[in-house]
Amino acid sequence: MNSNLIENTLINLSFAILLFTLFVYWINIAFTNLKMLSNLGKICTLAVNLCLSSTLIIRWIENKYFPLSNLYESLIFLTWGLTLVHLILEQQNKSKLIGAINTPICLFIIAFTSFSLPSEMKKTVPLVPALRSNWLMMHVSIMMISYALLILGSLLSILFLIIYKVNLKNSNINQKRTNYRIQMSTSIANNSALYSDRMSILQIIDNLSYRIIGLGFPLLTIGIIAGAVWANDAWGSYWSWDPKETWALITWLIFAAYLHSRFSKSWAGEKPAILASIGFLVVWICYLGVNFLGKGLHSYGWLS
Amino acid sequence: MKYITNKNLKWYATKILSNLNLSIIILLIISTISIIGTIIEQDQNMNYYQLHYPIKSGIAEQINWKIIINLGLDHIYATWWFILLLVLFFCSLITCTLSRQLPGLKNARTWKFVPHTDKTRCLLYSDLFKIKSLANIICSLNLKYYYVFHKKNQIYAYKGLIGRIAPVFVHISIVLTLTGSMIGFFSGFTIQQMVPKGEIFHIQNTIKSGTQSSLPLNILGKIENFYIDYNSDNSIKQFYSSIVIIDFYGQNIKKETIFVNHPLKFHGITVYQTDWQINSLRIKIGQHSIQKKVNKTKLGNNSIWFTNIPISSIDQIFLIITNLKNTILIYNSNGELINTINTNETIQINKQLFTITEIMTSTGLQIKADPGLQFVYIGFFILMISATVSYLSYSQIWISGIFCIKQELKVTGTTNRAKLSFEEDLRYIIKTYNQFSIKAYNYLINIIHL
Repeated sequence: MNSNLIENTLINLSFAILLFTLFVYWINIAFTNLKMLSNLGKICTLAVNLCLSSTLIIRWIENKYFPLSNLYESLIFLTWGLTLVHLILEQQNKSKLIGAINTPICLFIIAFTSFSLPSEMKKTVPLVPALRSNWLMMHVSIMMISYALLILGSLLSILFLIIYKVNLKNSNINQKRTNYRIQMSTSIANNSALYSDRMSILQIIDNLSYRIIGLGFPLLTIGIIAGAVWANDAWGSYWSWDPKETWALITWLIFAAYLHSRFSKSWAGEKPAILASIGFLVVWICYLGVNFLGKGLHSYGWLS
Repeated sequence: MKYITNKNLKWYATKILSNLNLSIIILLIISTISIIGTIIEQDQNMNYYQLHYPIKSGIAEQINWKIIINLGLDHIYATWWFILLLVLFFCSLITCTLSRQLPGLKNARTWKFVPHTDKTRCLLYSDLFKIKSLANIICSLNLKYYYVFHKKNQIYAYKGLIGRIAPVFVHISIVLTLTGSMIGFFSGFTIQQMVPKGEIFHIQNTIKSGTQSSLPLNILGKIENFYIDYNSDNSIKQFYSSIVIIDFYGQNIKKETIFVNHPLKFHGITVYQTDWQINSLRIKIGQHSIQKKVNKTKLGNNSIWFTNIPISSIDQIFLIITNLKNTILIYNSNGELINTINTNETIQINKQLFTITEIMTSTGLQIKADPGLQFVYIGFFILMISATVSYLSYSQIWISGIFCIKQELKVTGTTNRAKLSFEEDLRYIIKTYNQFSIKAYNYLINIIHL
């Protein structure tokens, strides 16, 4: 069978599974709390991950270079990274929220990839001389994984902000602003009498987002550094203020500011979450938006 | 004003610079300026800005070329105020490391065994152990890889101290990287040269150099060969230049074939493959050899090179080169393809023997020296490791049996990052402690009954 056809089938298959997974997670979070549904969601995500892995591997074997050279491949790789990160985090944290937030993003990316991208952008073209290096694999894959982590982490921060605002509104109406947190924490903590003060759902989301961003940040650092070292070998300068580079630095700075704001007393509360939400935008600009500037050495050739 | 002494001033400066909020704001300002730098095209000539940012009266068009030039927005990353901001950032990093992080580390050591009463720092607080057994709690702590210290009725346990040390190294490595790039800025140079194949070149034609840099004038280079590898669809796969480095006495020192991603490194200078061009054709017509310059033009996405040769007083032919691999196309003045020719192939045109003996090419080299590079790389290396290790959370647990009634233990714990998994940790420790206690209890009961 034609490998192109297999690829298409796999992408469509992962789209279908993702759609199904979305319902599984949302039903699980909204109505029930079934262990079976959680497991089903996990298995589906794994299936999507495997589908995308095989797509990438087929492309790798077919073209004999690591499939990260154009927008189409990098979007698939990003989705693959998101599902991978999702699986790992879910294994660690057992939180249903990650699935409920990650699946729509994955679905959106896959839908965009298969429906909106013109077919000539899916075609493989031989690598240009500058990309012919093993650094391609190292630099781009680490960057994509870090994007995946940062996207997930900052999405959780946005969720935190939404819940926080809604709570504030509700408690303003009921004039029970101060009681709310305690109510929340006791309702969560009633299954364990061991602790006098367990974390509330808000604190859990907040800390989860902080930890995920905290994991994405060093990866972003390594990715940027790998890129700098590669650039020094290929272009003769480890930093040339190319738009993509600059935006990667901006992303780095924003998340560095976020991580530091967590330690500052005057920034306590929702302010770090606002920073992380800005970070969400910045990651997307760094990843896709830079192409609209239509220049620089990192362009995926969107407009040209 | 008599209160402001030298020491006071130093203290104030330290206090302001090491302020966390200031550093956050600096980070955000740097990123905002960087954003402006990506929106406004950098390093263009004056005409470009006059064309794209004309002076208009509207509110949205407040940014015109005069403002851009005056503020230096056309080379934003090299303006004095951006550099000043980086220097401020640099100072803030150093003072923060010296005045906050290092004393904080010292504190981490002295906190041992101090009963933690400050409630605001406590994450968890429990005094629900039913049986007091320090041996069991130590064992449970060990199972979660805590380092445990025991004194009388008190236990202090910690884990992930390295996660508290690593941020210091993150700061140090950034300082090192910035220092390295400054050294490179002041004492490095960059050169771009187009060297024809077979020619000898000096190191000259500087495009960027620091005030402290010096060009190595006693070194010569020779381009022995330049060639291109093509893919099957005629796109370029790789450029290759064979370079020989020759010393002052004409001795060959080093010979290497460079290509993109594989530069030549030699005594602190690096030679990169960056560009190429076709200069001219060496043609033999009849008995005469001539050299004819070619012009480059774009045809869609591809470059072609062309030249014209008069073959009689009124007629001329056009030679078109598409790449170094394919045959050269010959058109007449009516634009009709009349023949194709390979190099060193002889054909007859207008009753004259016609041979193209050589396509003369030049390779574009970039030659760079950066004495700060090793510092930057060491900085990078430390940064990668320390940023990763910083993910680890520093957790501390205090267990005290002093002020407890009956058989209870007081547990207090705190962590700086992973609150969620620290909670899990504590839960696990208490669970195992209870299991141990129950086992011990059952064991004792059995002994008594037997």
